[in-house]
Amino acid sequence: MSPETVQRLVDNLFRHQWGQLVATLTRILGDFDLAEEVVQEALLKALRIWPYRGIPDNPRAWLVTAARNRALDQLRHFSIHQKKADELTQSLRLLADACPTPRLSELMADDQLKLLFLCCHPSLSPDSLLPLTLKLLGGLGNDEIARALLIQPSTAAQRIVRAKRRLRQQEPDFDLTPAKTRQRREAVLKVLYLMFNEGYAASGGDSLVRSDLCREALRLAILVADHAVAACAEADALVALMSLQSARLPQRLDAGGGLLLLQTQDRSEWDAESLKTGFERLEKATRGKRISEYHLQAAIAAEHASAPTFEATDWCRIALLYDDLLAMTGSPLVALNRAVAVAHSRGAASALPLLDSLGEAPELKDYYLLPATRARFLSAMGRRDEAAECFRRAIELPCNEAEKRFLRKCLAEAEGTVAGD
Amino acid sequence: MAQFLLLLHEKPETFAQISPAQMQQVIEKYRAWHEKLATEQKLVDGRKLTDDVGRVLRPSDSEPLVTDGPYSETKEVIGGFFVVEATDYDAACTLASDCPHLAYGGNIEVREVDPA
Repeated sequence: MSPETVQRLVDNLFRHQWGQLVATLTRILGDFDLAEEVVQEALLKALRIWPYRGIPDNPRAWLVTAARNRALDQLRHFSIHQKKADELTQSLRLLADACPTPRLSELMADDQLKLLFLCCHPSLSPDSLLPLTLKLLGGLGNDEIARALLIQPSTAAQRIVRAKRRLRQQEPDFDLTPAKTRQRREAVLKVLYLMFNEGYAASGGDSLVRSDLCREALRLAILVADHAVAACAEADALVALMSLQSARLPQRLDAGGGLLLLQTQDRSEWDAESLKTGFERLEKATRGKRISEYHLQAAIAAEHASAPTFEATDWCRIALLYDDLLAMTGSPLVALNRAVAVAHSRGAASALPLLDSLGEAPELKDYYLLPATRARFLSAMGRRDEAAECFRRAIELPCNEAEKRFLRKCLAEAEGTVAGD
Repeated sequence: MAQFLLLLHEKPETFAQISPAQMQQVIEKYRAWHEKLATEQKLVDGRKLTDDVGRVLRPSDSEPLVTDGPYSETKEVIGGFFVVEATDYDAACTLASDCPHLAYGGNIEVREVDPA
């Protein structure tokens, strides 16, 4: 069997095809529920047939054709005007015919961007936007979305159903004007930022990193940043941030699936290509005069990325960037990260008081990193018993399995039951 | 070398709520199984049957009776079949034992094809 035939199934083909086909069929059919149903049926057909006949030579083309045929079938059940039916049939035929060409990829990318902007309707909350986007654009199943967002599958399903219903009411025509595009840019970037964060440190389940979510968010962010109307400095800054952080993905986990801290990561293993893209985009993003949250976060990521070792990191500069970020956002989470930077630049004793007021913040009430950070400061100051107490509190709070394992290790060190590092 | 028919029985609800990523995992397992058989040159044919209940003909006094098949209360249907080459039943069963179909809750009926 030739090497080409051996691996015809590209990584995440089904998920990517889902995302692309739903977007394109939504445009053609004007109905995302129908589009989803059609695509699901096409994928299921592959699932039933390929085991017997083997993987087809061009799996992507097969899936596009199957979806196209299914959509044509469905059209027959609609009592629509003959002219409209003819138009739709024509669009659908063009879809499969265009399949081998790169033009189709371009068209599908446009369709995905359009669907992304349509989904980010002002009346939808981030709570429902994120599951909706993960489903329609990311091709994730309900279970996967539920695990990513630390909610029940039924909750994920409900939020998606409600979001779709609202969207159908508010946006029946799927008409995306340049004005709407500019209006929704901020929401779109926010959703992509959340999606990336989910992938970078998946809230639930066993894997700390879901690099496919990160890749998806980055891919869509690049589409936004390069789009004629949607492009803006904030989008470039977000792409910079995502690229710089993605570079570290190969080193986030060790061979056993355990969490590798920044100080122990092998920097030579960071993805040079991603870093290069990140620096280039950051440079582009800072040409104008507008500075956004994403600019500052990207600048912080750039500081880490350009330091040859952990010890050589310019923590003073990072702390200053966090000062600006805190002034801009007032976010307690940012304040927490700032405290960590202060600890590195001025010592744990200076940073510890910064954590005191954060205990009141509702956003951090159940956030394990607050007690965990306190514990690390106390450890560094030699106050091991108090550190152990804080680690214990951190372990009780919701977090990922990989992070829990790491915390237990820290606790054991603080209690002196394991030799420290 | 003898030939054996593998009949793949399955319940229709399998894969009802499956996500694209999960589908890909399933197909990847089949791909690997296929590749193994093909490399060993043991796979003669593999076909999926269409997703309908088919028909059953029964003898009667006059014309044969044609009904929707197979039997009214079955929850299992035959999804498809493979024809494989193996030396004997033991070898055929070993070959079928890592077919992903089993991992997803289906049964595989193995019958030797009479060469006569």
